[in-house]
Amino acid sequence: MTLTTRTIAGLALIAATVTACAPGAAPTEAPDAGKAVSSALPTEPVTLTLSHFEEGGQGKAIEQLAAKYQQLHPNITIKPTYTAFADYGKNIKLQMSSESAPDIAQAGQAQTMQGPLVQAGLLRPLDEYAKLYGWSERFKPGLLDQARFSKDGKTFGTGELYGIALGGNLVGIYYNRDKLAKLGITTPFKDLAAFQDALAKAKAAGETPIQLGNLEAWPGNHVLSDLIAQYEPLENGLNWVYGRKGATFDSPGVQQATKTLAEWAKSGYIDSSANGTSDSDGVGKFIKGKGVFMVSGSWNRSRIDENMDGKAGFTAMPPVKAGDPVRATGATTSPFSISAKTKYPDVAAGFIDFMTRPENAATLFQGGYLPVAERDAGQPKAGSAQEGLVETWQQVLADDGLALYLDWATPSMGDTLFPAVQQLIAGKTTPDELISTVQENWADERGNG
Amino acid sequence: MNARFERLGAYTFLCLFALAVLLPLFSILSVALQPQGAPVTGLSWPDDPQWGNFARAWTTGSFGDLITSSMIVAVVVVPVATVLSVMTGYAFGTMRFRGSTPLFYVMLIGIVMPYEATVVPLYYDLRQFGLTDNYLGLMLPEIGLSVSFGTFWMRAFFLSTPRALIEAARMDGANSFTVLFRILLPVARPAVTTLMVLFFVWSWNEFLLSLVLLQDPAVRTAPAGLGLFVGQRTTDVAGLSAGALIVTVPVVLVYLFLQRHVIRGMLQGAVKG
Amino acid sequence: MRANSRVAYLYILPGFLVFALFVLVPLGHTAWLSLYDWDGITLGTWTGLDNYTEQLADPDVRTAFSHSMVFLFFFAALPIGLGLVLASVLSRFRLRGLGFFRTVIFLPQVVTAVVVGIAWRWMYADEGTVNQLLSAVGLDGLARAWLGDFTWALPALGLVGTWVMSGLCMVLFLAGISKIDASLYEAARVDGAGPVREFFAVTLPGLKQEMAVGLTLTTIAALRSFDLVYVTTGGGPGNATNVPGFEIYKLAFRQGAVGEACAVAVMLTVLIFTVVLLITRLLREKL
Repeated sequence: MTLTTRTIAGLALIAATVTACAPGAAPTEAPDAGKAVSSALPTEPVTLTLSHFEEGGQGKAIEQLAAKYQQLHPNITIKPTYTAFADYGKNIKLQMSSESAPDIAQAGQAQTMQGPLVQAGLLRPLDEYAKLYGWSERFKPGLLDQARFSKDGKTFGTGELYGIALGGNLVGIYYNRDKLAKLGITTPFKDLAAFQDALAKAKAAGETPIQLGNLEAWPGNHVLSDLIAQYEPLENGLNWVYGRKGATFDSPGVQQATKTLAEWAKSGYIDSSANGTSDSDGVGKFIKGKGVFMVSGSWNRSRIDENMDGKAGFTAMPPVKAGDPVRATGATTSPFSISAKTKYPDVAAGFIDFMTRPENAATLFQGGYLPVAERDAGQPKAGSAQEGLVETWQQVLADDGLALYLDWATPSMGDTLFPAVQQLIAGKTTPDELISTVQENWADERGNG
Repeated sequence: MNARFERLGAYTFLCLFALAVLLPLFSILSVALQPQGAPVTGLSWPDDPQWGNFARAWTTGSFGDLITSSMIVAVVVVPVATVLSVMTGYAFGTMRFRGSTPLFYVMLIGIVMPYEATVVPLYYDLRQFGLTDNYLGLMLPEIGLSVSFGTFWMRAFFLSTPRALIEAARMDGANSFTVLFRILLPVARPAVTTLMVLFFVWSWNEFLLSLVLLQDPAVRTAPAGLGLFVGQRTTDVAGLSAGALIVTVPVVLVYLFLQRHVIRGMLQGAVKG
Repeated sequence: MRANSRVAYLYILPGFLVFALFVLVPLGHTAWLSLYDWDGITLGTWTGLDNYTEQLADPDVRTAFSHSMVFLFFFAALPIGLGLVLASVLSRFRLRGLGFFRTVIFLPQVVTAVVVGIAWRWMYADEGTVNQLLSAVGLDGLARAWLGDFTWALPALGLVGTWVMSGLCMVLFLAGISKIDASLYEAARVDGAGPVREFFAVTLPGLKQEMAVGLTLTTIAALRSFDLVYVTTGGGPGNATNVPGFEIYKLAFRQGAVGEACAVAVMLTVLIFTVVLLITRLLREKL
């Protein structure tokens, strides 16, 4: 062989090898796909692993339910393992694709985690189980849609069901009761204008109207999205988050909302240190009395109630027009999915069903979950922020008014939108620029802008 | 008179610098002693220090198991990487051989590459050999990365030792092994102990590798415990600080322990030099 | 020569083997992945150099690279300078408590990045220690939430790098100074040299090797930095403190763009390698 032929042969070989071993794996059908689902449990000893990132009381509730399940079915052991959310996302994909994949796992939400897992065929569709256990009667349709994907993992919000959530979360307005009394402000606000009046009043009285810790960049985005939920028709917002054709961020409602946030920042309604204060420290300041309001989510509720002892309340972000239905940024907590690799899908589905049964709603509620399935899960303490939160939650849920989270729209939406909100609050970018940056990302990633 | 002023100036400078180093660390302690969930501001000693936070953090973070894991990993990684680094550093620093320069630069790659991305292919590579989910799969990459640094570090040290020392021993017919052990290592004590401190610190604090390569939370290393205080959207600040101190104390102890040897070794070096 | 070569290879072999298998091979794998559009799990598609051109065209990525140049000053230049001063002060005056100062100043090198991050987040908070100190000396006007300030966040983080790296430089230089022939110092003192002249005439020339090591290590730390940004600002406010290492992390773990992450990683590796090569070349008069 001459040098050239050898070179060509070599190059061909390399090319063949390279194209033959593209990284990753094509999706494979689950080994027992098509086998009839059943609620009957095996009699032999079975151990299932469950990976989750539910901290604190919520994580404890899962452990309690696992223990309770084992009491009812002594041959079945459910082993929950916790990984912090920030770390969970780093290895869930690798973990689910490995031989030691957990049988049940929280698969995150939307495109970042759940999408690729569905696409890779690592999650088992649950529609058969939903029929078997009557999940569509137990949950509002909007709640189940949040865990639906097309089989190729590309379309989100419709298609097959890939998970069931235990609870919900919601963004709204926390307020300091003492300060409201002093300023003569009453809640709930009948419309957004009333809330803005209250902000102006607080500012005039030398208070910090809205406490915000935005060092992590995502907390500020919740203020924006809660405003968008008021200005933009719910359907449009959902279409955008679900990535449906023709949806756009550059709409009158979103423009109004973004302008409102920019004006709030400019008028000094938002703590001037927001971008340099962590969310946790922001809550700390609110507890200490810096800030009349705080626009934040249900996750901060227990710390606020524990430290403010009845001095804090919670109300919904009011609608633009008085009397309109309550809309809020919020969603279910990350749903639990079943691994396509599990040998015991029936047991896994049985346990997921067990966790969301009415008789266990109280356990979940005590753990801090906002109830998704059962209205009367438990009574919050009178005069607590929890009281207002649960009430708002029920109002929003009553007609499927959850607006979901904006960063679900594309895998890189958080990294695009959050810094832009920091810039908006600091006056470093305009509402129009923010909107076009965000929409550009959406159009790029959804490929149908 | 002048000398005394200079001395005073030197002390003032050093004290200020030491203070600047300690202040942030001290603030962690003050935060670790706050009641859980209480707001944190500036540098202030809590009125009612919650020493119980440490006990709480210890159980919440299940640091008992995690620290054991970290120990197991470090106890293997540090000595192995040190021995290998001394050997490679010795060859690169004192011997002339074909390809030494390119080979040395290749080994440098290990300290210049950012492995935030490489950890993903590494995981898949190790999985092929069944090395994920066990300590060996974490130790080997840690050793590989450490050797890269150690080669650089020890080579620099051996380069700066007087060549006459080595030549004289060779004249006496000592083989390369004897030169290394009898002549060079005693002088190299400070360099080697510093290297060990650094290896230990890195292995102990290594987080991303341990997280990705050890899927089973039960075998993860100490820093993983800190995740228990950070939720999806909430942070238990007091617990996190207490946990952070718990993770840090063993490293500081090892450092202090080795430090005594560093100083002793250094005086030796000074006498010889 | 031949025999000597064989001996050298034998010394190198075990270390090199572990290094090659667990560092080089995955790095090669990384370079190969950088040519794919891949989310880390499903089947990837070959894209050639698209990931590179795309990332190079991304203004955020370019800003990130420019931020690491700022970090070069804070992680490398400042600590080297401070380390030199500290080491020469400690060695010249033969002060009591040398061990104590050494230990304390090296301490930041020992603590986890998470700890460093938490500590400094409070230092820099609007009601934090830095502002407390500023107002104590009557500079309230300068007080701000440092990490949220578009101008000051980057230098503020840089100073944390200085805080971490100075101790390493000092220890390095102390060891180097202890090897400098004591008679050189005596000669300088006989000549009536003050501390400054002594420093430039004796200490600095004697530390060439240590300078090369120190400069290399701090430069790498500056360009490769990831942990610090990860645990403090997450690249914010806006993108004001974003660095390539963090960009890689975001791409690989938050956006599921492993191919793109690998491309940035390869570019960063090449950049750091070139800089390190330049440093060794420039400081290599003796070799």
